[in-house]
Amino acid sequence: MLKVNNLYAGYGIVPVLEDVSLSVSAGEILLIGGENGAGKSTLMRAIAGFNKPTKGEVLLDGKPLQGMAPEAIAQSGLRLVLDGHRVFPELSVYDNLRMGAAARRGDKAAFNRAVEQIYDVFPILKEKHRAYARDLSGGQQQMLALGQAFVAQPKVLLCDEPSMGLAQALLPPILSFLRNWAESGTAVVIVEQHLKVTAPYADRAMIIERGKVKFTCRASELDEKLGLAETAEVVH
Amino acid sequence: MTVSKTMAAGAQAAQNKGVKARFNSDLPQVWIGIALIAVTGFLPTLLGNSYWVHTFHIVNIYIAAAIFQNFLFIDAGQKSFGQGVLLGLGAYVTAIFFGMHGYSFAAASVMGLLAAFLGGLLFALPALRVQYFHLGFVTLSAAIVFPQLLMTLDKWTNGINGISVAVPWLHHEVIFGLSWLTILIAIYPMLALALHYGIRNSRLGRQMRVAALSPEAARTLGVKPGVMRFIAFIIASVGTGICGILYLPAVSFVSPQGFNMEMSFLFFMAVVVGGRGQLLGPIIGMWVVFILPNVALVEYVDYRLLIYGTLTLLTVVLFPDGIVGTIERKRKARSIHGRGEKAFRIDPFLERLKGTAEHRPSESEYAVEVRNGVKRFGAVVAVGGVNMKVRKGEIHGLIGANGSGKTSLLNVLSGLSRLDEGSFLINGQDATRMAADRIANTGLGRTFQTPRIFTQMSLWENLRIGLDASTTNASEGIRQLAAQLEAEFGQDNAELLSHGQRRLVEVMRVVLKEADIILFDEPAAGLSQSERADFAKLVRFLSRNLGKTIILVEHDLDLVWNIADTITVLEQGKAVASGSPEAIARDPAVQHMFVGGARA
Repeated sequence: MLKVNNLYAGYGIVPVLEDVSLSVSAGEILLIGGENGAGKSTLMRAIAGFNKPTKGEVLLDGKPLQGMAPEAIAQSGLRLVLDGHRVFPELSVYDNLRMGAAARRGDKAAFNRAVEQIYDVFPILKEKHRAYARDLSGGQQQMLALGQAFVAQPKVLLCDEPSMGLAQALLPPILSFLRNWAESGTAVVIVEQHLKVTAPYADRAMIIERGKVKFTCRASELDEKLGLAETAEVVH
Repeated sequence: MTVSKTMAAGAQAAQNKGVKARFNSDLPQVWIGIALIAVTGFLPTLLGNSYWVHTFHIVNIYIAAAIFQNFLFIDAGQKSFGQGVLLGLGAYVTAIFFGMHGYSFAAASVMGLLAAFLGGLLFALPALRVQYFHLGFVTLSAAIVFPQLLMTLDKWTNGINGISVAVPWLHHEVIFGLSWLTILIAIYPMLALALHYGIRNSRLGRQMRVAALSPEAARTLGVKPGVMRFIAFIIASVGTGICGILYLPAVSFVSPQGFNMEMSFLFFMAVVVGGRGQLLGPIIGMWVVFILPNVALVEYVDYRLLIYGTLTLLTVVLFPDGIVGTIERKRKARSIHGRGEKAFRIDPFLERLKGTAEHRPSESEYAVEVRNGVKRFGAVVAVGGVNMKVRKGEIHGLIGANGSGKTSLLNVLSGLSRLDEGSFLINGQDATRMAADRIANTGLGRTFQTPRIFTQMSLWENLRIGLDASTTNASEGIRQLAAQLEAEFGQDNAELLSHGQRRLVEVMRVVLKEADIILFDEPAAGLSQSERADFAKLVRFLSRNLGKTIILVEHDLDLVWNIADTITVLEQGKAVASGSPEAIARDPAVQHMFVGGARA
C-alpha cells in the first residue's frame, strides 16, 4: 500500500533523514520508535508532503506522492495525525468530525456510520459533541483528532505519538481501535515512545536512529532486539 | 557511567563541529549599520555636496525613527502605525516654544520631548486594552488626525502657514567642515541602533519579547505584559521625539502637511522592506522606500505614494522576510545548529546540580493548600470542590483521566485562572486573588502541556528567561549550570527541537528560575524511556537535594509511582483519593486507571 524508497529529507539544507525505506501493506500496523530528535516526526511530515524530500520516493498504491502538496496527498488517501492534538478549536466536536470528511465528499450514510463507530470507541466525544473543541481536555482533543482521521477513511494512516497527553488507561483502547481499523484494510503507521504497550498491537516495528533506519523486525521481537541493541552499546 | 559517557561524547561532538556560526547576526548588523550611517552622515560634508548633506540629514533622522519602530513592532510586539505623530509632536512643540515664543532651543527641546513622551503615553493606554490590528487602527487614526489638529489649533500652531525657525549655531562648523547638526544627526541613529541591540540583549528586552510572544508564559515568569508594553511605548516615543527635535533645525520649517499619514507609513514600510526585527533592516529599508522615490525618481514626485506602494509590494513578494531578513535566513539555512538526538538532553547537566543537603518532605508545613476550590467554565465544572494539601519539599503526583481537571487546577495555582469559589494558599499565604506574575515572584514556576518555546531566540536564551525570572541571587550550582548551558547552546536554534526536547527545555528553564514550588504539566509526554529516567532523576534531585516542592501532573503512572511521595487522584474535578503511592495503589476506587492492573 505505502512504500517509501531511499528517502532523504530535512529542513532547508539541513539533512535530517538519510536513506529511509519502509513499506506497509493494507491491514498492517508498522510501529516506528527511536529517540527524540531521531527524525521520526520528520519522516511522517516528509511522507505527508509537509516538507519536500530531497531524494527518494513515496509510493501509494504504486503512485508517486513525493513532491505533491499536502492537501493533494490527503486527497489521494493518505492521512497524517500530527502530534500535539491538532483540532479546530473554534468548531464544535461534531463539526470537527465533519471537517475530517471534507476531503471525501458525498456518502452521508458512510459518514454517519463512521461517526457512530467513533462515538462507540470514545463515548466522551458523543457526550460533548456540541462543545467547542477548545473546551476539551488535551486527551479528548487527541481522541477527536483520531476521529477526524477515521471519518476520512484513508487508505494509509500515519499517527504521530497518539498516546501523547492521554491517560495511560486510554492507550490500549486507542491501540485496539487502530488495530481494528487496520484490519478493515487500512495501512497504519504509528510513531510511539511507549514501545512496550504499543508493540503487541503492531505487526512490524522499525527503529530510527540519527535519521537512519537502525533495524526493522517483527513487532513481537522488538523487546528482544532492543535488549540486544542496548547490550551491544554497553560493550562498546 | 552513561552520564559521563554522554558528556564525553558531547564534548567530542562539539570539538568536531569546531566554532559554531552565530545564531543571529545582530552584532555584525549593528557594526555594518553604524558604518553605513557614518558614511552617509559624514561623507557628503567632506565631499562638500550640500544637496546630499541635507538629504542624508533627513534620511538618518528617519532611520532613527524607523529603528524605534522596529523595536516597538518586533521586540515588544506593538503594531503602531502612528510613529510619525510622535516625531511631529517633538518637532512641532519645539518649534512652537522656540520659533513662536522665543524660548531657548534647549528649553523648547525639553518641551518637545515632553510632548512626545505624553503622546507615547496616549498610545500606550489603548495598548493596555487592545492589541494587534485594533491597536494598529487606534494609532493609525492618530496619524490621520494629527495634521488636521495642527490646522485646527492655528491659534497655537500658526495653522497652515507653519513655523519657520533658524538655529544658526547648530550649523556652525566644528571640525572638518562638519556642523553640530551633522554630527548630532549622524551620531543619533547610531546610538539608537546600539540601544536597540542593548535592550534586545538585556533582561528587560528578553522579557519584553516573551511578553509579546506569549503573555501567558510571561506572567508565569513573573512579568506583567502590560508593563512591558508601557515601557516599550515610552522608550519608542522618547526616541522618536528626539528625532523630531533634530528634524526641526534640519528642515528649518514645519507645517501640518509635513506630518501627514505618509510619514508614519514610511517608518512602518522601512521596517517591513528592510526586514522585520533585523537590526540593519530600518537602514536598508529607509534607503529603498525613501531615497529611491524622493531622490532617484524625483521627477515622478507626484506619484510618490504609488511608488512607495509598488516598492513595498515588490519587496514583500520577492523578499517575504524583507531584504536583510532574507539574507539572514539564507545565512541561517547554511549553518543551523540544534537538531537531532543530541540537540537537547538533560543528562549531562544532572551531574552539575550538586547539593549536599538531604531534604525530607516536611511533616507539618504546607507549600500549597487548596480549600474547597471550584472553577467553572460556563456550565462546565472543571474543578468541583477540590481539597488538597501539598507538603513542603514533597513530590506530589496529580493523576486522573483526561478532562478530570488537572490542568485547570494547575492554571488556578499559577494564577492564570481564578477560582470561582474556595481559596488556596501558597506557603501559608492566601493567593486566591493574586495575579499570575505575583504568584510567580513568590517563588512558583511551571511548565505547560504545549511547551512555550520561542524560536526567535536562541536555545540558550530560551533557557535564560528562566534565569531572568529568578527572584533570588543565583546559587553557585545554578551559575555553573547556566555557564555550561550557555557554552553549549548559545548559538543553537530552538526551531528544530522535537516535541519531547522542547518539554525538557521548559523543564530546565524552570530549574534555572529556582522556584521553590514547581508545577509540571505532563512533562514526560513524548519523552523516550531514557529521557523519562533522566527526568525522574532530575525531579528527585530537585526535591531531595534542593528542597523544592513539586506538583507533577502526569499520565505515565510508572513514573509517578516511582518518584511521588504523595499522590492525589482527581476524577471529574474532585479529589477522590490522596495518600502514599502504596495506599493509592490498593485503593479500589482508582484501579480502573491502570493498564490491565500493570501498575503496582
